[in-house]
Amino acid sequence: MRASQLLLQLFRQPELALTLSADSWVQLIRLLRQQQQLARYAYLFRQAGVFTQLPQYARHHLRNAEIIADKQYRQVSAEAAELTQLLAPLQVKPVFLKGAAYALQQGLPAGIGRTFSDLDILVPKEKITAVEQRLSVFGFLPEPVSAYDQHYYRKWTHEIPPLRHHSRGTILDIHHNLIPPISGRAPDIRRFWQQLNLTADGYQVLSLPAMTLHSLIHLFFNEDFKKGFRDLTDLHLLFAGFSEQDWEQLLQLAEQTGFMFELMLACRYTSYLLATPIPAWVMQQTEQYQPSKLRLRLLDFIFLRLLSPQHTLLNTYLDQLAALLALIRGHWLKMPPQILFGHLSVKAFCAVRDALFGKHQFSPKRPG
Amino acid sequence: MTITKQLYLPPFTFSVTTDIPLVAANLQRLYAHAPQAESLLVDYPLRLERGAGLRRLFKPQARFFADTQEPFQPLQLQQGYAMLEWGMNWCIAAHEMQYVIIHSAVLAKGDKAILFPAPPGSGKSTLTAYLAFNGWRLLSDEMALILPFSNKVQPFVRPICLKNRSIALAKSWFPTGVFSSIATDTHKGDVVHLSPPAASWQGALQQAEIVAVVFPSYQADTNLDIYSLDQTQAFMQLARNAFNFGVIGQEGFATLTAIIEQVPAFEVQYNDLTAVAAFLEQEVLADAR
Amino acid sequence: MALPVLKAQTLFHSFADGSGTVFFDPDTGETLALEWNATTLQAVLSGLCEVKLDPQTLNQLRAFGSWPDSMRLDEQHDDN
Repeated sequence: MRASQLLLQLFRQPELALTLSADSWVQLIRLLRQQQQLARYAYLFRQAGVFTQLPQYARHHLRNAEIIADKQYRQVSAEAAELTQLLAPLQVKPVFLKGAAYALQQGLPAGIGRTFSDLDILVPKEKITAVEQRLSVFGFLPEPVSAYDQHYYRKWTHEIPPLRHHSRGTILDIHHNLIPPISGRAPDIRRFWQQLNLTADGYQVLSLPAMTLHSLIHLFFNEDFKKGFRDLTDLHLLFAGFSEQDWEQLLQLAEQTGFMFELMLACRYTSYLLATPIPAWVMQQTEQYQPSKLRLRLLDFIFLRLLSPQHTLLNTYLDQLAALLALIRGHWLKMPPQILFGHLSVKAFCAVRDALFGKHQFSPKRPG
Repeated sequence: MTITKQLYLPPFTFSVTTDIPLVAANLQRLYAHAPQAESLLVDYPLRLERGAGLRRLFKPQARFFADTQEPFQPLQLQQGYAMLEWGMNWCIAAHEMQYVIIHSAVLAKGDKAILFPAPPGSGKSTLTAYLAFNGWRLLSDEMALILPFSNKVQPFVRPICLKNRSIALAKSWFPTGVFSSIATDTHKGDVVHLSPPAASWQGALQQAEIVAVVFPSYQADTNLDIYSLDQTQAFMQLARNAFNFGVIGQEGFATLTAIIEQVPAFEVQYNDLTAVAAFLEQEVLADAR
Repeated sequence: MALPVLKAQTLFHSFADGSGTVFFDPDTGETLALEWNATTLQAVLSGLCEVKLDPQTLNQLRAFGSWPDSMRLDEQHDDN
C-alpha cells in the first residue's frame, strides 16, 4: 500500500499502527513531517492508547514534534494576550483565526498537535492601517516582499503583507476579509463579525460553525494544496465536535455567504477520505449543490489526490497533473479573467526567470 | 552521477544524496571511520544538489535540502561540503527536542567530560582540535546533547569546523589529519572540516559525565588567565548558548540549573593551548571525583 | 501594600552559592537573572523586604508576573 493511503487508514484507525514494521515508519514519518502532521498523529496514537507500544524510531520523531507543538500551543496564548493588549487603545479587539484560534480554545481537538507558521487575525478594514502602524511601533515589522507582491497584496487581496516580530520571529497575517474581494465572492464580512465567541481566557474567535466555514473556504478556495491534507484533518476534527444546532448554523451561514458548493466539497471529501461522521440530512442538503456528473468526476480526480497526504518526492505524474489543475482552478476562483491573466503572466515570467537563472537570485533575502 | 551515502552518527542516522563530486569525495574521506550499524532507519534524508538553470554554467551553486525543506539560500558550489555540515547541524537544532542541546564543544578523558560553550571567534574549534589530537576524546565540536534531568552527555561525533587562520595552524600540527577541501569566502570566512582521530569515532556510543563547564576565550596577549564564574553568570551563559532551551521548557531549565550547581564553571582567557590543557588535566579533572 | 505575583507558569531558581536568582517563562522562552539570593527573593515575594528596582529591570520582571509600581526606583532625570 502506498504510504499516502496508509496514513489515511491510520487516521481512521490509529490502532493499526501496531501492525506496522519498523521499516515502514521511515516513509510515514517523512510524509507526516512534510505535512506538519507528526504532532497530530502523536495525539491520535495517544488517544487510541497505542503510542507507548510504537517502535522507538516512530516514538522518537513523534515525540520531538509533540514537544514543539506543545510549546507553540502555550506560546500562542502569550502572543494573543500581547496583541489584544496592544490593539485595545485603538478600540480594536482582534479575532483570532485558523490554527491560532483552534489552539486558544482549551481542549478543542483541532488545536492539539496543530502547528502553524503564522498567526492570523481579522480586524475591521477601516482600522487596518492604524493596526499596522501601531504594531510596527511595538516590533512587528513588514517582511521583505517584492514590489509586485506588495502591490498585489494591497490592491487585490483581503490581507496586508505579513509582519514579523523582530525578536520572537512570530509572523502575523492581518486580514480584513476571509477571501480576496477581487474574486467577487468575498462574503459580507459583517455576517462573520456577528458570529463571535470568547475563549475561556477572553480572546475573540469565530463561533464553531463560522470557524469551520472559514476553514473549508480556506481549503477549497485556494490554488495551493501542499497543506491540503492537514486542512482536511482540521475539518474532520472540527466537524466531529458539531451538535445538530452547529450543523444548522453552518448550513445557514454557508447559504447566506454563498459557500454551499465549498461546503458540499468539504462534506464529500472528509467523509470519503477520513470517514467523518456527517448527518445524513446534511449530506442530502449539500448534494443539491453538486455540479454535473462530468465536472464532479474532474473535481474528484483533483481533490482525492491533493487532499491525500502529499510528498513532492513521492508523488506520481497524476498527482502533479491534479496539482496543476488545482492551481489553475484556484487562480480562476480568486480573480476575474483579465486580472488573472496579468497575474499568471507575472508568475509565469518569474517561473521562466527562475528556471533560466536558478531560483533565489531574485528573492529578497531575510535580514540576519 | 548521483550517489547516496548513509551515515550512522549516533544517536542519529542521516542519508546524503548528492550529485556534487566534491561533496561526495569529502564525505567518503572524513566519515571513513564513522561507526557501522546493522540496519539503519534514516532519521534525516538530506540532499546536496547543483543549482539548476543557466547560472550553473558561469557561477555554479549548491543547494541544501532536508527532505523537501530548503532552510538556506544556495551557496557557491565550492562551499557545498561545508553547507552539508551546517545543514546537518540545522536538522538537529530544528527537530531534536529530547536532549538539552547547547552550542558547545564536548571533550572527555575517559568518561569525564568538559563542556566548552562559546560564540564564534572564541577559538573554541582550535582548542577542540588541539585537545582531540592530544589524548582527549571528542564527543562533539558544535553540539552538546545533554540527557534531560542528568549530567550525562551523549556523543555526536562529527568533523571539527576550523576557520581562517586556525586552518594553517591545524595543518601544521596534525600533518596526517584528514582535512576536507577548503570552502573559501563563506559567512564565517574560509572553512575547513577536520575528521577527529579514530579513538573519538570509536567512542561514539559512549556517554560521559559532565564535570566542568569552561568558556574559552582566545586573547592574543594573554598566556593564561582563569576566572571562576558564579552560578548565576554560568547559568546565563549556558542558557544563551542553548539551542532549544526556549522550546523544551521545564526540562531544560531544571537540567541546566542542576548541572550548574554540581560542577565548577570557568572562563579561560588564553593564547597558549598547552597551558590550557595542563590546567584542564591537572586542576579541573583532578578535582572531579 | 501590593505584592509581586508570579505567573503560574513562571519557573525560578535561586543558586546555592547565593549569587542570584534566574526566572524562566517556559511559554515564551524568556529568561532573566537578578542578584537576589533565596532569602532576598522570599522576602521580596512576601513583602518583608522593600526593594526598589530601576525601571528597566522592573519592566523585564513584568514578563514573569505582576510587579507593583511602588517597586520602581525613580531615577533623577538627567537632561543632557
